[in-house]
Amino acid sequence: MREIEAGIAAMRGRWLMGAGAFDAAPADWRAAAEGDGEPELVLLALAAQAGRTAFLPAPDGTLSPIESLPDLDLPVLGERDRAAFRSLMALVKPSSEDTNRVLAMIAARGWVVHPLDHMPEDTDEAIPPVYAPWVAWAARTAGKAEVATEVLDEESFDLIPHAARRRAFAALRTEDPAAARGLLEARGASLPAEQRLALVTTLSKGLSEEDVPFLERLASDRSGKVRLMAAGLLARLDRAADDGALAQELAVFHSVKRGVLGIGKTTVGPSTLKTDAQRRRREELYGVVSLSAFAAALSVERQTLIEGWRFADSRATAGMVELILRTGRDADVTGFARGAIAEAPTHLARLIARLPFEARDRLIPLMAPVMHLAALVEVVSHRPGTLGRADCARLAIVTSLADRIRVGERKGERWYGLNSALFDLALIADAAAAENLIETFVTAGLARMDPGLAALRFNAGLARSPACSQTDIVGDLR
Amino acid sequence: MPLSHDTITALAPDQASLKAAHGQMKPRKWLLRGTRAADDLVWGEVQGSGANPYRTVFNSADHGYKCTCPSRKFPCKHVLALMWMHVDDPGAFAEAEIPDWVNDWRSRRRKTGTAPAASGDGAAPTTAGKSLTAASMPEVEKAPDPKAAARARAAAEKRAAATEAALIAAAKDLEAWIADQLRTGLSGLLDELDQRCRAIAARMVDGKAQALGGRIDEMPARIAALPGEFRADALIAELGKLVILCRAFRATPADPELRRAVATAETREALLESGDAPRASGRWEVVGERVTTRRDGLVAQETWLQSLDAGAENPFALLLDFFPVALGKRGSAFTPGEQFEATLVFYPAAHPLRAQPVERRAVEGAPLPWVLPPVEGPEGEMLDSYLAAQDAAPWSIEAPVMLPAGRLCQLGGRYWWRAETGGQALPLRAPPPRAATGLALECSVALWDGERLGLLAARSSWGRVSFDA
Repeated sequence: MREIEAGIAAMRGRWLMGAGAFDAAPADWRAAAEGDGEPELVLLALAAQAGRTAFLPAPDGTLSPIESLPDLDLPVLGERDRAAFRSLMALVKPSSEDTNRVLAMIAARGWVVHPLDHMPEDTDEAIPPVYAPWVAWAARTAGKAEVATEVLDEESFDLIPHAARRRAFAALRTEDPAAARGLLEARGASLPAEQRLALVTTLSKGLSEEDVPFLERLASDRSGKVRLMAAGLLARLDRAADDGALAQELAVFHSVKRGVLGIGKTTVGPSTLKTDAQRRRREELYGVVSLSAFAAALSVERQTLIEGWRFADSRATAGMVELILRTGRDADVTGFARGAIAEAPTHLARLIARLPFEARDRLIPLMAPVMHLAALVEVVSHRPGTLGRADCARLAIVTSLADRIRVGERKGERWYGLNSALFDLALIADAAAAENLIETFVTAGLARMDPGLAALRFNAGLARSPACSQTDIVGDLR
Repeated sequence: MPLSHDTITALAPDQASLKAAHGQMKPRKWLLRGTRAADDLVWGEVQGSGANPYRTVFNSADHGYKCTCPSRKFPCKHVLALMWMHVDDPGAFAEAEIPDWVNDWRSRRRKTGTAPAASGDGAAPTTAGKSLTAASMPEVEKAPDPKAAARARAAAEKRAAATEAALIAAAKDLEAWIADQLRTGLSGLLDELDQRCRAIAARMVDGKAQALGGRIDEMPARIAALPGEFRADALIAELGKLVILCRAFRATPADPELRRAVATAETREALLESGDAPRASGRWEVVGERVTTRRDGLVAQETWLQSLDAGAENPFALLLDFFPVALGKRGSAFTPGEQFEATLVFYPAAHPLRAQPVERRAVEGAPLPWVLPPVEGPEGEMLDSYLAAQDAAPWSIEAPVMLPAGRLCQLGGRYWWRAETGGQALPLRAPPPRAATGLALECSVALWDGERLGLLAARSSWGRVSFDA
């Protein structure tokens, strides 16, 4: 065999150069080719066949099997749902962000997709946490540094990429607030300002008096944004270190209308200002004054300021929203959000997003009907695919879409944003609501198999996994 | 508007279409006919000239329709035939679940009015000049003319002799060309592989050796897909096999297998009438599909089937179709992983592989498992079916093999399949899907060409896996 191998190598060299290979051929081959009119062709045929049947390619190193793909905590979709998922992906061709939203909805039902239907990239940090073992596997098999996402401590702190570290830090803060604070205190100083700011922001979860000393030390942080965030967190604990003069200056730009003899509600609102310079100054002050100092400067109760706010000036309301988000307690945010339902629904998404999940869930049924669909999708991202039939039916967007479909049917046109809106609806509705929405839109004029309804059909057909309860899989997906 | 004979007549583009539709109304031509009355849907699969049946569907309420055949007439004869059969005998259509491909069509089509579609000039289609009755009339057969028949037979024999002579000349021409390449140096050929192959392929087509021409035309693409250091060996293998093919053909030009490899394949009708064509009935699984756009403007659609019957004489089958690129993307009637009962008729060959389905029946219930390769025995046996195919047809490029339990490995930038026992390793032709690299492959079906492995499908710890061969 070695003689043949050597012979083929020698013949190949000669043929490449255009020289005859007869002399280099193995003896048996020469004998076979000798009588032929074109002996080189015979040798070529023999070399070809020997190369394809007598030898096997050998690796030029040691082969090691690629590490096995780890199992996830949730069961994989069944064959029927796998096919429906593939069909949805092929039909909708969602962006990676939208794909992750679909995966979050699937995870909320207690399933994960099959790795061959969707495999996350090693850089996919926005994928639902249940897929973290696959992301880590992808990173390891791509030859990237081992990512110890399981345990975040002082040793692993620098090894974990920022987004994963932020997620792990949020989880640690939820489980053990003191440990999270201690870790940030020990290792935070080495981080760039933006990353430090992100972790300090996370301290808003489980904020307590025990955080005060650390937050006060952050008053000397080298980043202005971090200092401002720390001051805001302190303000939420009524430890605002405001300059009273600034609060007084802000109060001058507002007026308080008090009820007379206990009749009528006390309201607070922005005064009409004469110059742009005054308006800009007022907006600057919203960014530095705390809620409690502002209320004190106005000589009103904090609750009065929140509940009695007049929403007439949209720029002032936007500034007030900033102020409350930065320095208000959860109760302040909730109170202001209730007022904004009728007066300033565009701010609802940001307000709700600052609240813990339980507080969000109480507000969502009230606010959903007036919220913009994209904003609603955002605020229910912690529990996708769970909005019930009644809640969905009350959404203004549903009526609006049905009207657009009817008009479109008459004119033979289709609203360009229809598919996107239907997709968004599919990500927030539960299965029964999705079924109901399909009926609504089919009644309005869409074909039952319309591509725009693909995500709703997938949702409606996706049962909840018996292997998993809702609390197991809910998590902050951002 | 309910579908009626008048509607069909009005929809038909011309009388010839109705006549052709009548010819398609034989039930044996239809592999499948189904309906879903609640959704006004009727569909069917009709066997055309290729291995892949055409899929035909229409809506009985608004008369929208679709067929995957390449006809330029709308509706085509298959749609008209399906409509006609449904009007004549709706009971012959089984009420069934709507298949995915029908649902896919429904989801993509725009709604239309209930009236038959207007013709291009805006006028409503009419029945003028068209008649179902006339289309149903049998052709009046002329009285046989023995002299004319003899003349035709003589002409056919003359044509066949001329074709055979042309093919032998083409084979000689190709051998001479290869000898020239050896004399001038294969490194020069590698540098100009595209142009030189294009030129000799055109000569082969001119010499009636279309299959040979197509194979040479695709050779540069096969070689260019390899890393540089492997191209010389691949070129030698390709040229050597062409020499084998030419010599074998010149020795036995009447051999149907060689004729197929050099010129063209038999027609479906000729194949079905052939007494030499082996037939195999049983359960089959679609293990993979490979669609290749060729330089001659054709798309080659390969559907690989595996027998699920233990001890099957032909464990694998290849359904091969060609259609023009200009027709756009064409869906296959087969889905990877799908199992069905079928009778296949194989093109006669020493090691039969290419086949045509004669009949196909859907199966219900749990899918059958694969017939696993024996666990015992040396690992070398896993390539036995490839070696047997090479013994029978040494000019062939690749053959399907079934591999035992294995894992995928990566070395440098290349991927390898390695037997679970750690011995034999085979390099992959293309990187596998990333997720598949982390799976334990219990057994795999692949195409082996002696140098590279193209995985088609595998059974794994995560279920069935499909690859792009």
